[in-house]
Amino acid sequence: MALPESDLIAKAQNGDMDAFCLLVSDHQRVMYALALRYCCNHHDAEDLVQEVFLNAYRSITRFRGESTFHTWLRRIMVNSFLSHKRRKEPPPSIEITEGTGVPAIGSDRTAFNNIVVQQVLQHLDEMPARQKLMFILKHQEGLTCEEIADNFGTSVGTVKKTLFRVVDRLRKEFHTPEIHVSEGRNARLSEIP
Amino acid sequence: MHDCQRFREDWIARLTGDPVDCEECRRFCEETTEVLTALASRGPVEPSEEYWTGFSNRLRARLVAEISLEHQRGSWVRWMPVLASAACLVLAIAWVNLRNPARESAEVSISFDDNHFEGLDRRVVAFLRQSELDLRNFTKIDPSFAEEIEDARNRASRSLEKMTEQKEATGDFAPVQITLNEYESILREIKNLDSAEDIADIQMRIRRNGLIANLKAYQPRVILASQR
Repeated sequence: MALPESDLIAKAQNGDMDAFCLLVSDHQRVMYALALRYCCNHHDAEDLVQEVFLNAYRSITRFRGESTFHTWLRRIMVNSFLSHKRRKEPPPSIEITEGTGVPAIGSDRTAFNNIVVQQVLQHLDEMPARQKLMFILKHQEGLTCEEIADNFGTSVGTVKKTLFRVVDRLRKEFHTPEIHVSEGRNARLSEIP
Repeated sequence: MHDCQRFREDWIARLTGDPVDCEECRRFCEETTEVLTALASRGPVEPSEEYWTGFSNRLRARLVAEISLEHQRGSWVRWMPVLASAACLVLAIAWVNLRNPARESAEVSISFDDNHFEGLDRRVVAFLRQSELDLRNFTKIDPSFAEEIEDARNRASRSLEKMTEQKEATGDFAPVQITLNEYESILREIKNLDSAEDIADIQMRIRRNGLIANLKAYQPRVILASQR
């Protein structure tokens, strides 16, 4: 029978590595998904998540239970993400091949969405780490502005302004200029069914 | 009255509903929704169970390495009382040597010299000191930190509001007038910053024209004097 989280925390605080691994296994998928959105590549994402867990292991004795374990882990994640040294890998390139121009039917909408997602991720990758992480926490994990502000140790107003800047920049990337695809054809997102 | 900027920030933060009668905001919301919907359409990436098994094993390996490192550090910790005792002994010997009556004792006194700006209004001196600090901070801003840039812009606005009063209080101090004029033009540029690229340019100009040194020139000089 699985032990409750509080028991696992107590054991981990006494140096029980197995308990710690069990404890973080409940959070590793969420962390990995966030890290993957943040880094855009698998190697960095795994590296980053393991770094978060190592930092958590080092400081688990300081966990007092004043917040949930997940909230505490997320604070460590924010710090680890922001201080993470990235590998010098180019961001994933996006190649729009022939035939992926203006989709005409609903199923192509999915393919087109995938292209948009990749482009969004590329644009995000060019943004400052802090802005990118706030955006991901908001739109990936669905955190409120208060929660994000708490994680970053900043004000709700700053979070709101930052989120606005990121979203507005992405919107302009996709709507002001037309999206150029191969063979000189152009498409606007709003024209897609 | 409808404030587009505020509405959009609140709308993105999901603190308010769709706009009712602002065409610009309505279009903003539609376009933003399209991008965010496309982003949300991509489900979470789910690696295989084998991956997670490997992940756990790799994490364990790193934790084991971490624990063995801690043990190594621990062996150093065992020697710490001995090292601490030795350090205390060295300090005690040094202290006894310092207290030796054969040595001359030296006292250092600090005084402030403000002769070089005698007659300059104290409010201007205080303004120059604060301006120097603000400019130093600005030269260290990373162009990617939007909050700090916003803060610098607000500070510049506030300083500009005080500028006329400061210039009047400066009186006949021509060099201070010239410095304030230079500072004012920099403040205007900071206030009107609209892209991160401009920051590096302004920072370089501040370093080149020696404005910080000029602002510092009319502040009290600290004088250290040894008295035997």
